[in-house]
Amino acid sequence: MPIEHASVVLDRLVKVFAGSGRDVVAVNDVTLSIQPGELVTLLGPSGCGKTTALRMVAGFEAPTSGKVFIGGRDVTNIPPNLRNTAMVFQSYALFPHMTVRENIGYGLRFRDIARSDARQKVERIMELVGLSGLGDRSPNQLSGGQQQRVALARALVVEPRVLLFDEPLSNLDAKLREQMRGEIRRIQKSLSITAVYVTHDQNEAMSISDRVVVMRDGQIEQVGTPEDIYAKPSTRFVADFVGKVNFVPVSIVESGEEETSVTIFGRQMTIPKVSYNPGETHLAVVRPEELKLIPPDNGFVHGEVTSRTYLGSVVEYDLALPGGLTLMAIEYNPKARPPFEVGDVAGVYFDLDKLHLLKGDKA
Amino acid sequence: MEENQSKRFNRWIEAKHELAMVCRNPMLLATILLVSALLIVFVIYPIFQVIRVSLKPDGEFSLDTYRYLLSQWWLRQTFVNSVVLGVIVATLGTIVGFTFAYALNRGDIPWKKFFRLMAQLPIISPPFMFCLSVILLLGRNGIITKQLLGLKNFDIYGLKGLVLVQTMGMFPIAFMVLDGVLQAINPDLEEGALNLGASKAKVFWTVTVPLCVPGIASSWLLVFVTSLADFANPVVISGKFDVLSVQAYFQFTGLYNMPRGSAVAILLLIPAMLAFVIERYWVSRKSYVTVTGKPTSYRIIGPSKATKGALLAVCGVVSGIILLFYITVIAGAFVKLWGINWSFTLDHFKYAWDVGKDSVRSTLVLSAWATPITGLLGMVIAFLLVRTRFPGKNILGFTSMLAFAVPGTVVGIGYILAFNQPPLLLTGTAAIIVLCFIFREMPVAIEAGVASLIQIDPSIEEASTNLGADTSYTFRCITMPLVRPALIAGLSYSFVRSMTAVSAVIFLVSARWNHLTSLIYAQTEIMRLGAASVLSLFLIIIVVVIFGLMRVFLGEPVTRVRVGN
Repeated sequence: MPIEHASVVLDRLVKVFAGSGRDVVAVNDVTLSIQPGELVTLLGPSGCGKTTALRMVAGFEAPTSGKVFIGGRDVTNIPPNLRNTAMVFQSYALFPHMTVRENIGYGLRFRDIARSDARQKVERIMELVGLSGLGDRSPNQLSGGQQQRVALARALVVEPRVLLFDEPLSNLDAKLREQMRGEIRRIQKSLSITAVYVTHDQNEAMSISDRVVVMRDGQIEQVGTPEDIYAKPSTRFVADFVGKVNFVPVSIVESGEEETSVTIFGRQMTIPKVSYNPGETHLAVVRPEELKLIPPDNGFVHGEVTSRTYLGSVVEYDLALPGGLTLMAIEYNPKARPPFEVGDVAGVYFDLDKLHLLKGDKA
Repeated sequence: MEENQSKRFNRWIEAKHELAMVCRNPMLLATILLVSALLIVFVIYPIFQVIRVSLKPDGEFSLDTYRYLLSQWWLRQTFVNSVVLGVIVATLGTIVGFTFAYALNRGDIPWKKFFRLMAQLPIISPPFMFCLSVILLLGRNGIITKQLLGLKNFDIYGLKGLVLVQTMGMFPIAFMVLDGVLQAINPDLEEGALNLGASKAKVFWTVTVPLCVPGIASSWLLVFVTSLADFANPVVISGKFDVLSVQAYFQFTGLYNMPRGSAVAILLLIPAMLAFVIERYWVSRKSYVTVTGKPTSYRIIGPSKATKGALLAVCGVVSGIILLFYITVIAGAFVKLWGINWSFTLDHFKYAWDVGKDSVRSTLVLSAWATPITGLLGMVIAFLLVRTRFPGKNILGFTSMLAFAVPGTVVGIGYILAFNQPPLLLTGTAAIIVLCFIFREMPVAIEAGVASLIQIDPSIEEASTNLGADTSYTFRCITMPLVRPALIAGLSYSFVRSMTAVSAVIFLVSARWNHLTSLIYAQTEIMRLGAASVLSLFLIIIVVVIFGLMRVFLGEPVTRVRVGN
């Protein structure tokens, strides 16, 4: 199924909702360029403006200022029914008075397609998403996962220039969610449709996207590949939002040619050269799985285990350090290691070569 | 200051964008303009005419008419009478309505279905019917007063008769509001309080009643407005107890004093509007319960035996009275001369058919025109209010609901004043009555539509638009099928209300286009109570038959509708 690849550009988008008490700035100056065939996730907590941004691409909301381009064409003033985007809604939004087949074929009514072709397209897309044989059912006779597939098929069959997803998996249980996100990614890749995907689930964003856009309070915090976002977050917010994290204060002492000497937990250490000035203190992002708990005498610092949570594949530890700082550590394959119990004192070690320091957040 | 300015600026931008969105959608724009034009011409303009005529008795602006009204003690008394009656009926009606609602939802009493029917029956009962029964039962030749008790000088006419018929006729309004409220209060709250050690009485007074307070206030105000606007009952049974709606009618049509009739109508409009605005913009916002349409699990804490007995007694007595009213009217239709000659006769039927067949036909024709238009227009407006954004939407919403508050008397006078000259010369036509029905009954259709649209996920319609359908296609193929139950409910009620309308239509009927209710009034006035009873029966039968047909052919209305008068 050849689908025209289209780029999507948001140009300084602003959306202000006039509230009764005060105005709410839902989207505040968002500029973003999405390549043809790319899947980009808008990730952030509720109220960060991700859904509003998506709805402006679909045309359901008119921007207060700024422009939306699809395939290089300014669509800011084009009504939603003429934009040729297709949205998969959080609630699926299936038409309850139509069968599965009628639901999927609905969008084809507005396109110049012969009836027999339309019927074929519907059958083919039902096969693609795994709905064969369910065409005559009514949506409320389907399971949640099947309804999700109908919603996806209904969006795909019109061969949209952009596919829009508004938290499509949030109504599914965890197992199904993982399965569906794999399928969405597979189908999107095989058809190479440009897609914008809104979610608040960082795992979903990580696993599905070419690029992730982390949003906060209507603004973009960071745009990057899932690896970038996780390993090199640009702000404390991003680091905190995508996964569990420890922030360790690092004071710059002096910088040499290739190395910088710093103080961490009151100890002088050297790390690969960073471009910060001596005297400054920055926060290092240390993921819990990077922290290694070892016998107390060997680590950078030692702390008392305040809680230990066994989760099967991993064990999570909380540590209280002498200075009042707390750290979280995750140990994989817990059976292989001598377990620390609550009340034990453990040493803490992590690899200094990959230390990522936050720029703005001086501790 | 600066923030304020930027806020205003943003709102202005918002309005501009809304306007731009609407303008991109010509069908939507045309609909909004058409609806606005209709509302201006058929809702605002008539009211404006009433105000204008009352302020310009001789073409010049003057307050003479009002000065006269206030200087005459009997006119002042009329105002006081209307308000006093409204207060008494609103209080009694709310008490009875609450008792029914509590008994049916929490009371654990038997014959629930029967009592629910009794609490709704008065809504579809023809006007005049209850006062007709009261006259037959308690009047000068009343079967109770004269035959059973042998009273000679008992006079049911006046305040006490009015309180009786209005309370019986209007408590269903309070019942329907409070029934909804009590259904929506999760019994867990009451069980929780009981579990924490409160006695049943304590739970009632500290949990149930406080949660119902907004609903109680709301019912009180709605019944108050209905009583104030009532014309049918007072015109028959008020005797020397003058009320505004009747006074306005006599000033206007009896004495041809249009400025004074208009001014009395305005005196009626003011308290009605006040109560309506308080209800809508203050009381209903304080509501603790949101009606979700999801029935809460049906577990109830049974009340004590004594409470149950008392509830059953009140419901029993009230239902008994309503049944008695019905039986009396049926009996009245077959009795030769009530109170004097009790022999069986079918003469009244023959007479009623002779004088009434044209009215029956025209009433049916008028209602048949008004009903579908009301239902459809109501749904379109509900759609605009719930699903679209455009500058001035709040004003459109307020205007379309205004007919709830404006007493029929004011509307009737307004229509006469507004449409008696070209280009809109409508007096004497069927159109003026149909239009009056449409714009008076639309609020019910709108409320039903709004209530059901709110429950439909807006993304279903967005999905349709997103896939390429324009607004009107989406409305026809997605929205309408989904709101069908509400549409049917709206249609049923607007039909009943067209069939039973009095207060406005009495000004608008003509020799050619008469209405059954105005014929019943005429027969009652000349004391042909037998014929009036027969005509009332006709009305009941027509309403029940058509109601039944609509359910058979269009399906069961599911949505609960609030009915005002």
